Amino acid sequence: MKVRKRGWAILIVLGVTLAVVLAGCGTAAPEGTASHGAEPGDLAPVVLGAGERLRVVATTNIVGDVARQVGGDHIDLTVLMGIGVDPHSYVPSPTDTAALHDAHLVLANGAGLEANLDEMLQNAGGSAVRVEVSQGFDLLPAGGGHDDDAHGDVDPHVWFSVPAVIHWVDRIEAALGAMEPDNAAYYGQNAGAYRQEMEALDGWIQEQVAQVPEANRKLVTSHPVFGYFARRYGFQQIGAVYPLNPSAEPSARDIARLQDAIAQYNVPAIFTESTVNPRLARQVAEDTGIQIVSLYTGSLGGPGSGAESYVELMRYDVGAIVDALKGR
Amino acid sequence: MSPVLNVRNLSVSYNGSRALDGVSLEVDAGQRVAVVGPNGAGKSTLFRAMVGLIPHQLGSIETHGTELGYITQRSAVDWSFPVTVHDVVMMGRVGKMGWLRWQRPIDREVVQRCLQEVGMAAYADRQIGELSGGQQQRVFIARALAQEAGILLMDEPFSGVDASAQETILEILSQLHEQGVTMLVSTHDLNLAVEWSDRLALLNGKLIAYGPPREVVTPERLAEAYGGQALWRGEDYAMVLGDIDCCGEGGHHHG
Amino acid sequence: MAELLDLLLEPLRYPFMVRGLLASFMVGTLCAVVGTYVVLRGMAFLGDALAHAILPGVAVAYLAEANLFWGALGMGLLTALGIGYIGRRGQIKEDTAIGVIFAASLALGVAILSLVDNYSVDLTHILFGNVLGVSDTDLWLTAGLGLVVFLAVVLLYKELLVVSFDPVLAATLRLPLGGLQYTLLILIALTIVVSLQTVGVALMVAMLVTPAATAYLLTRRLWHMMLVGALVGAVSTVAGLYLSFYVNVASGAAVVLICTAFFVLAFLFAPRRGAVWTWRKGRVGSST
Repeated sequence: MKVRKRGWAILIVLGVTLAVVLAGCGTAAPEGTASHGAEPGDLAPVVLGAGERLRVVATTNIVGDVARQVGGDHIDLTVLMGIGVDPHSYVPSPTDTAALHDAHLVLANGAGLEANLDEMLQNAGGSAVRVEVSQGFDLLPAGGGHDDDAHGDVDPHVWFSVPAVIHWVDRIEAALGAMEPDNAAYYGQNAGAYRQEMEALDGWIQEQVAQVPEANRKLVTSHPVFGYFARRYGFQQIGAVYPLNPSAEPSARDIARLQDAIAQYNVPAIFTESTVNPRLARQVAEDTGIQIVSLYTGSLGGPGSGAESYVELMRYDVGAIVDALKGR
Repeated sequence: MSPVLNVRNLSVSYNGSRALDGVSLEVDAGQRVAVVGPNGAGKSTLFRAMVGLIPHQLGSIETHGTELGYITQRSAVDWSFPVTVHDVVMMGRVGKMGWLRWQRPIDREVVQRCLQEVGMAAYADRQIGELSGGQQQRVFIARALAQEAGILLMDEPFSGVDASAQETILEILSQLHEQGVTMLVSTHDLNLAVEWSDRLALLNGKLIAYGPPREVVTPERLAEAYGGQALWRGEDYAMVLGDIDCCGEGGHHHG
Repeated sequence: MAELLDLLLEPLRYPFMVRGLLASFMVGTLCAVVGTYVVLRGMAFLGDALAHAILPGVAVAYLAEANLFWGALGMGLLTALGIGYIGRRGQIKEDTAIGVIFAASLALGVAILSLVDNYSVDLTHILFGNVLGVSDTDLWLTAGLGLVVFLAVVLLYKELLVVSFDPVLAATLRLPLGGLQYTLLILIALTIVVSLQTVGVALMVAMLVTPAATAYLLTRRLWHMMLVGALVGAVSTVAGLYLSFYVNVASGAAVVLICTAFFVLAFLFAPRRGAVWTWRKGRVGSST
């Protein structure tokens, strides 16, 4: 039938056209660029209009808190990840993307924590400069014992070691000063004051953990975030209830492995993240008869939580850890 | 004169059962054929197999010098589909228009003419769901005419249509007959079939009889088609039997 | 008035919003046009299944670190042909076949994705769209493929009309029923792939069905239905994006809710077909 053949001819023509069009617009798979942002020393001063403040975007709210301490009210600060937001499952809202577009400076934790930041910045457009505040600190390899890692080769949870945050303060001070030389003195003042607070905090933590006997200095957590804490303050990070991805379902094998580890190491308590569902940790703890303590790890707490700033967060967490482990 | 339509030994099976078994009939140009039989006899199947909508396992269908146009049962149509009367008739022209082409003036002319022939030209812009049963039937006849088909297969055109609409349709069929269009009509109405047709095909899975209506419609043949008891039920058959009794020996022949 | 203008222009300062709006506009119109056939032929369930069925393809592309678009395309075409084939075999009801394929694909997709750590962000994007993350490349792909689909619909308009309205006539006219039906399925699959980034898998069926359904209530001819549907689709997607920008609500969801609002309005107030009209007619009596 003539008409029938023509029908198939049309289909084929369509198909070929399709192939040609798509081949012409072929895309390369996006490369995962591992850039580390700019160095504060390389930043050029920004021209601000009358009444205009330096627009700074911080990725996590912990970085944001420290940025606020140094920048004071001379900066226009926006924090991308709100209270309780898990960096692994964060999706920027239109307002967030708009803020990235309009920003002068983006402060990121770095060390692989913000996996999609490159993409987000590229998508948002604009002319912001990015500074990774953890860059240059003595970084630990990732995982703390786990085979696979969502973050890359290094462990990004540096803020559990106070000297790391002091390092942050240095870099932020330098960045703000470079971009706004007129206010450099102001930033310097704030930075100095905060550094002193940090040193006091560090000392306080050392005192507190002294109460925990050697044998109990084991941290079994729902996410291996305490690598830096362990190194700085003399603890051992054991296993994780969850595999490294806190939004995934742990397999039966993961749960069994953890129960074995707990039995083997004989710990008084396990610790879970506030940003992650604790149901599974509770179940494991019920089976083994030990205490579950929930801590603030990736995000500050909301108003009235007792962890509204970085300092408060550390005091809260250390207090809880020491209380749980010092007994027995 | 060779027949315009020649069906030889047509057999159709689906789902494991035989719907049509070895049906053969010849139709000459301009003849009016009624296809009659009980529900499930295969009347629709016969027409559908003839246009190639369903495959046949055995036998052949040949047309000479013209094409088949099929007018579907009204129940099979989606009346809420967004098409107007004009659109429906224009669909009949699709075969003539060719791929990647639009309506040409000739197509519009033909559609207009066919609508006039069935008396529906005033309704060209109505959505088909707005029409009455008889009007809908006429639109589909117009579509078959627009196809320029010389043989029309009409599947139960009189079901669900009131008396005056039926009259209108019969008038149109009579016009078409004058123009020499060959028609095959399936119907439940035995009376009507006998009155109207030149040839009557009595069907129940197989072709029980085919020929001049009054020769075909005998009590024995009807019993074979409809089953013994059914014969005596309903007003449909009472009249026919009455006619046969009265006119059995050399009665009138119509058409 | 000037304030309204400001509201309209503000998001346009941002290139990501401009790209998002362009993509949304294209997707809104394309889905409505193709969705016309989906609505008229009762293919809503099939459309939903097709949208979910591409998940394994996307998952594999994700693992391979290729552009997700290709995975979606391959899987979409495969599924469209598969569903078409099963439907024509007639051994089981098409409804059942679709249900089985739907669930299996979704499960397969999630299973593949779960092999990768940290998949939740991308899964969210796949399920609910990521219209604010549309890149220039994505925009070109959308436009190119969208154009192909649109051209096919236009060129095959009368054939698809006949096949959809009256398959019997199609057979009589010797149109290639099978070929055309496969073509339609492929066009739907391509539309889904193109629209994936804007609305995501979970809400895709809404983009195919709701604007077209709204248009159905307001029109009497097929191409009018496509036109009105495209209008509703375009306005809904653009408005949804604006809403998302100002209120910070998820864009895919905003779009669908606005579409649905239009549908409800049409359902109630459409001349002759709307609920309000038929109710009033009932009260007045049987006069016409």
